[in-house]
Amino acid sequence: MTFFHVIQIFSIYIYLFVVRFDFSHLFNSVDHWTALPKIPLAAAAITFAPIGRPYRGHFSPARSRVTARSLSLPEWNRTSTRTSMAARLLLRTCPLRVLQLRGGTAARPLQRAMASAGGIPTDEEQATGLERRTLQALKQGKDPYSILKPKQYTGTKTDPHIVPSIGNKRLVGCLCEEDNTAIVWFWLHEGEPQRCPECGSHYKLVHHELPH
Amino acid sequence: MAHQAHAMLYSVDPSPSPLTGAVAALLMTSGLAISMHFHTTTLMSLGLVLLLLTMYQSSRDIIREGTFQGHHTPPVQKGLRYGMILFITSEVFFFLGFFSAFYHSSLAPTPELGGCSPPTGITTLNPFEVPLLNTAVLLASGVTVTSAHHSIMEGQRKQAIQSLTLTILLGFYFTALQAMEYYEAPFTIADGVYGSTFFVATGFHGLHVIIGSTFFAICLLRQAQYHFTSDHHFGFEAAASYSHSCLMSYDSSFTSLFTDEAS
Repeated sequence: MTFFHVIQIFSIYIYLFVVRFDFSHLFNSVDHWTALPKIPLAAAAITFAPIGRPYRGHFSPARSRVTARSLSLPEWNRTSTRTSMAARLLLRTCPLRVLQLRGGTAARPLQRAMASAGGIPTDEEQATGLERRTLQALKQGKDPYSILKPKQYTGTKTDPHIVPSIGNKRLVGCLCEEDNTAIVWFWLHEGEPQRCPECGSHYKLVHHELPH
Repeated sequence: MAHQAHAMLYSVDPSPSPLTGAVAALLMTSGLAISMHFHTTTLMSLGLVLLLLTMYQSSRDIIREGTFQGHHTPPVQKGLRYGMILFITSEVFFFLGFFSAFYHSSLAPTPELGGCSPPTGITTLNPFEVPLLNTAVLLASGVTVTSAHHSIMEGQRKQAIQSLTLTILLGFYFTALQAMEYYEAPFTIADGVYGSTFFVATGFHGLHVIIGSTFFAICLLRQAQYHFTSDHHFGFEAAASYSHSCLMSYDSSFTSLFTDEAS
């Protein structure tokens, strides 16, 4: 969000408070807490807007280490290139001692080293548990948790329906024709392909392992 | 050897939150009635405390299950999306009820109202003053939400946190302005059907803005603690969808409730 974007957002504020002058009725209750200035936060936002300038460099752990040197004002020390008026005001008003780290503790890098280098982790870095196993398997082209729609087979002797299973038998429900309301259930055992008792399509059990 | 196969969906462990939430709702509603008859807010406050505890615990449990235990696989996320869409749709219909109440009374005003709309004796608010400012604030918060979303998707942590903070501040600014409008308004909720429909509709809307700001505040805390990844950040998307729907309802109330003539 650049300064220009802030101006865009607050153009309605500018219309209201510059073009239309008569807001006297808003200040009727002078003796009440609502007499706080009703100036929009645009003033503050414009002051702090430069913080949001897109950073076209790159973050590195060494540069982001919080030390006494990096906390000094920019005109004295060019290690910091992105400061805003607000940051400069802060450094001027608060004594440097207040902002330094106590004791001799080592400073943590302000920016965690993320693969994306922007600071937000990716699923590759941070996904865990079942979600991680699912994503890793899908990346390898496998679908151990049957998330995707099953593949279509013709069901003939040479192209039987492949039924993955982690054991040596699995229940199969055959919907012989589309729109049938009665499903034909049977146990499919490993070994020779079996046929549906109703329509005769071939089913073959194939063993597959789940990722651990 | 056969081992337990994890399904792509998961069953939630038993939780006291549905019970505590229901009890909280009971205590708050009955407490509200009690407070009106017997001038004591004890029961309602107890219900409110229980509600806040339920909110805290249930959202903490969901965050633990999704972010820390990895139960929110893609099919689970899809289910959560459906849930949020259905909930937002129910909120839209909730507001449609109040708009229909307003139009029912304003399009064919009765003689008791003076046969005109707005009714006789009501000095309406000028829509091009604070209501327009409120619209601008909500629209600006829509811009900042989109900026935060894109920052998260592109992995820009600092921009995401800044945009999210600005969104929350704009939400608080809206609430403050609306509170000031309520205080300064020339009519009250007791001023006939106009007052009733106006304050009930804008009051519920203001409550929804507060809920949206709270949701974003939780998202900000989570974002600061690295919960969101660039692909998986459904909590933030849910908050953004909810706030956008809130913004839409304010836009429609702006064109209907605030204008001087019932269109």
